[in-house]
Amino acid sequence: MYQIPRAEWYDLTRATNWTYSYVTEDEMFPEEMSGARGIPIEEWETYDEPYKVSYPEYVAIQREKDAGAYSVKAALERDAYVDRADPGWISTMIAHYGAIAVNEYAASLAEGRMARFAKAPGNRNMATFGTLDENRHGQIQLFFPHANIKRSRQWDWAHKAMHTNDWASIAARAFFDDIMLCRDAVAVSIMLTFGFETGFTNMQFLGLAADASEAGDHTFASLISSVQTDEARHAQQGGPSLKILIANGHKEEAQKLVDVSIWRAWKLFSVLTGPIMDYYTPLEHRSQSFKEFMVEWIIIQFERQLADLGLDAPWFWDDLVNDLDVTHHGMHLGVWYWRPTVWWNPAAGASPEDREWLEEKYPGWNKTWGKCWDVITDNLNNGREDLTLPETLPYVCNMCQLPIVGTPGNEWNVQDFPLEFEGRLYHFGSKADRWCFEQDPERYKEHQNLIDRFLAGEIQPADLPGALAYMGLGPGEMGKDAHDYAWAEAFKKQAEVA
Amino acid sequence: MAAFPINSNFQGDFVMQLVPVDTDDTMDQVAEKCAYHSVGRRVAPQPEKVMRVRLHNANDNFPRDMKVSDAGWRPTETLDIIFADQ
Amino acid sequence: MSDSAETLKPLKTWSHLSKQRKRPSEYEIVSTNLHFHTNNKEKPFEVGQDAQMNDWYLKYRNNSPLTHDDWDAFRDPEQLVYRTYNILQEGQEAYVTGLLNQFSERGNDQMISKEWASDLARLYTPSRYLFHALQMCASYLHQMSPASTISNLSTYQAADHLRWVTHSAYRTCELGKTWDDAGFGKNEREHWEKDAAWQGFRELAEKTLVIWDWAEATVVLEVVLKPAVSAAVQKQLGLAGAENGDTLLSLLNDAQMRDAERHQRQTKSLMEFAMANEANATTIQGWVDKWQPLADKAVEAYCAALTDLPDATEEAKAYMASVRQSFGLK
Repeated sequence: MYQIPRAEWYDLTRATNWTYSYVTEDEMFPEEMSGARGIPIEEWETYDEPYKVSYPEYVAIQREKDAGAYSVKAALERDAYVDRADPGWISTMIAHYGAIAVNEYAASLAEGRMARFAKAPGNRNMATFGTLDENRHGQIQLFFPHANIKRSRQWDWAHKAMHTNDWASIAARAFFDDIMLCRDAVAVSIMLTFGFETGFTNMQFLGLAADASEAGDHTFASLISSVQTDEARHAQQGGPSLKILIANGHKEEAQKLVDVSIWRAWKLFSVLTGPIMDYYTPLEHRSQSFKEFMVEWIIIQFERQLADLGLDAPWFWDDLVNDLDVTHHGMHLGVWYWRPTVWWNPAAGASPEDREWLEEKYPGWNKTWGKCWDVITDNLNNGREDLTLPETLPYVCNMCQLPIVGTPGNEWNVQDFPLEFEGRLYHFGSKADRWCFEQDPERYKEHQNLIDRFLAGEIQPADLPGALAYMGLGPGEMGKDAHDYAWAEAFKKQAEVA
Repeated sequence: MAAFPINSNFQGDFVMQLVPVDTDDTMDQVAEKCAYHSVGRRVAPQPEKVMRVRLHNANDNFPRDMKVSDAGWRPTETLDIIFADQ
Repeated sequence: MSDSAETLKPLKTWSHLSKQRKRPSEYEIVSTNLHFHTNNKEKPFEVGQDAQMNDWYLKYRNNSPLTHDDWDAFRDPEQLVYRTYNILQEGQEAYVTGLLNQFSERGNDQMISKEWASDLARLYTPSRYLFHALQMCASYLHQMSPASTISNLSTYQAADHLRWVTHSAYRTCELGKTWDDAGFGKNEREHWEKDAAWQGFRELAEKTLVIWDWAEATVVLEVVLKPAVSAAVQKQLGLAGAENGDTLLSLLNDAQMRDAERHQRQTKSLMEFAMANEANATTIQGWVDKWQPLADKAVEAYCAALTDLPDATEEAKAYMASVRQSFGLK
């Protein structure tokens, strides 16, 4: 390391604002890209990133991290863990890589937005490192799944997914384009790095790392825990922005940006992370339930971070807490039933033992969700697989792009939250999804979800095979039950024994 | 005679679904078309009951013989399809 | 739902790379065809049509005067990926750390003259502002380039420019310990904003920072502004350092030239790739002709202050011209 301690020269690396005279400050930082919201540049210069790093430290630390993660991969590749892993765990990785890898790379553009357009010099430098971090996360999460490319055409989706119109890709793009790619620098620092990364990716990565090592997948565990150590550095960029917005009378707007990003992140987690933790991860490898993770990481920890910054818990906090017993169960059932429309093989996670675990973690599961799985299980055991496959489209929310779901069975409660705006009828999957739309209708009103496109004739032929083609899915890619219904047969055997 | 898209919220099911009906369909026919995508798939049949159609969260049902064209729905209207005694 | 159509078999690599004959490199596997927002030409992003950013990307990326039917086919001649970038730059930084610490022990700063110290305070340490401007420009190109293999060039260049900022900042602090009355760490902003030597560079930097078309911004940064910065603020200032017994400065600037020359090799490939399309050659040369005068003015103003080097301006201009020629431009 350089001889003089970093603290003595660090501030000089971020004393890089000056008085522009050949162009105006508004030309240098257009509001559409910078989002300074009328707060003077001197205020933005009070921005102080808590987690400091300098260039020589960065390249040294990061070289070592990659050396570690790549050597674990190389060493274990011969071990071919993936050939003997539980099919549910394979689906976890194929779903994760497809939904995350290319979007991590895309996050580097949002970091670039801050690196160029933030008026806070410290933010610009941290975002320059953040751009590199996301470049790393995209590349490492493409290189690792590529090693399995010869095993199934579904591994191709680690790169292909975000280029398709698969409903899950549309949902991911709708989220990432809204909270990062199409936001000004200040909003990106709050929605991406604070709302999404500080709030949620902690959980996705650490939660999965815990399950991965339990499942014996040390390559995946070392990859995502290594990726997570970068997160702490660039996820910090939102905190100082929030403090400056609040100190300058913009608390209400800051709160709204945080609330929109938290709700939208939650919906994406309910369809990706929820099913993985409560249904795909083999029973014996589940360290905690999705709800337990959400309560620990979001309801408790993240809420404390909001309070530390002088923000309130979002207005929908009670809805979110209640939905921890509902939404992800619906998303899972939806993904499994519409399995041909996803690029991974959903694991039903509904064997007798699974359902005991679910009833214990979610009392009342059997007389609600269990009622649907009973009908499905009977159909499979009576040779009616056809009745366990879809013949129409689920109705999709105009905000989160995910099916509108709710509690089935004895406590049936599935709610639509409609809205008529400028003569068009919109449907939302929750009050908060509708509220997000109402914060900025101009931003969302023209967006066409999958149902709108289907009804507008954009999907031809207008049937399920037509929809599958529109989503870019061919045979060999379309999802199938991860365990070929073995879990259902277990009920048949139980019945024969009884 | 024209296709008309509705958003089917079938009692006991977990998800709403897009169901194309016809403007000439009666409410019973609408209920049948919606049942096709829920009953016997994720909702156990209740043969002793009839199925009635109502606006989402409404209190009263549409008359069983009313036609879609007379119900005053907007395209993609959300409808509850419930089991009832009559 | 039987698999009526023939089931898709697993491939040897990503489907978009499987058409090429040779086995793809690690570089290709992790860097190619990642900008999904270039797929829909009329609406890059999954928000409403008039939403913020759709218009910006349509105007300044999709509808740029520089056109190519497959920007994704571009390949970085250096094949840089994140993993190898850190290996490369950790090695370079280990070398620079050795330089800084050895010359500090040998009392480099104590051996230079008072006049040279004040020249450094005027002509060297304010360079953090210029290098930071390059860092901001590269960050803009990173988010606007029409292909991930092109964005990645500026991803690593932005970091290299931050590296240069860091060197200047460190030396500012170190020089201030020996020369506490030369204004190190205090007057850089004033020099950068007012001193005649810097105003040409500040004008070019500010105007480059607000070029929004991705291609024009790339050409002006890589073909006009940076060769001028290397010519004057890195090479000529390094020579002036050597003239004044400041060996550390000449070696440090020379180490930064390794980055600058890598960027030039990458720019050479990008220009060749773009100019395969005839119309682009005219467009690019047009931009160079439009902006080069500002760069010449900047180099003249800066080199005039290097009083020990009578040929500084001439040599700097010759260097810039040779770099342009290496790109196949005048």
